[in-house]
Amino acid sequence: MGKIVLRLDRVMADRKMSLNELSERVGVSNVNLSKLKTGKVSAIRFSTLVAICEALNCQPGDILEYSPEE
Amino acid sequence: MNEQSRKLEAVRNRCRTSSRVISVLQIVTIVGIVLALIGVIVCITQRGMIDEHVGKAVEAGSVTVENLRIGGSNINFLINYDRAFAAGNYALPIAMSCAVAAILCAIVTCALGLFKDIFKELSRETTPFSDRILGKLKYAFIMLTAALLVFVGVGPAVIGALLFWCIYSILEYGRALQNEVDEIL
Repeated sequence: MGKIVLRLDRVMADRKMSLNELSERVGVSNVNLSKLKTGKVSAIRFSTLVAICEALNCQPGDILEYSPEE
Repeated sequence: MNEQSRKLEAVRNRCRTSSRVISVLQIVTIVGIVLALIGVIVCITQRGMIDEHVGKAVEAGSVTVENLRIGGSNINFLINYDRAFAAGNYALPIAMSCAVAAILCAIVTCALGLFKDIFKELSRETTPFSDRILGKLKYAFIMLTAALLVFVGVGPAVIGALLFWCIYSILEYGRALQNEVDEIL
């Protein structure tokens, strides 16, 4: 079974935004954002996704990527 | 404060009140333990005097031997009351009844302590579906079921055990859901 990978670090690097800044803008703690970056969460709320897309000025497709099973 | 937060705060307030009520009940049961232990000591040290006075009271009909039992017929396996009373031996059975009462009070005190801890944690934590609360609840339920079995009877103990198992299963299910929710950001 494939999986969904979060490409948060790539978009953050494109926007030159630090984890702390994104954390403040999204209203999610640094620890939880790190979990999102490293894919240590099993799901993400639409509200969190909306906040991240607003902060990074991007589309959900820019940060979510489907990775088929190898 | 939204409606959900208000409801949660109300639950926490109820838990705080329950914790205080349990503290008072614990004091009552601790007093019960002390009194029962004093009873044991008095019955053993003043055995001759108690046998004489209770014997007279039983003969006069002011005390029946049924009044001297604690825990109904379920603790008859500990001491044969009928045989002891027929032989005019009252102090030791009464001491045994007091000792059983002390043990019962001690079990209830421990179970109340566990319930108090649970209510305290509920008044602080955001979720009751944690390993710590489930662990404490399990011990409290086992203690109470054992007390029901010994002091009340098999029937009530089975009903109590089923009720406790039902509550425990609901909380276990809640813990599994909580773990899932905790992984969602």
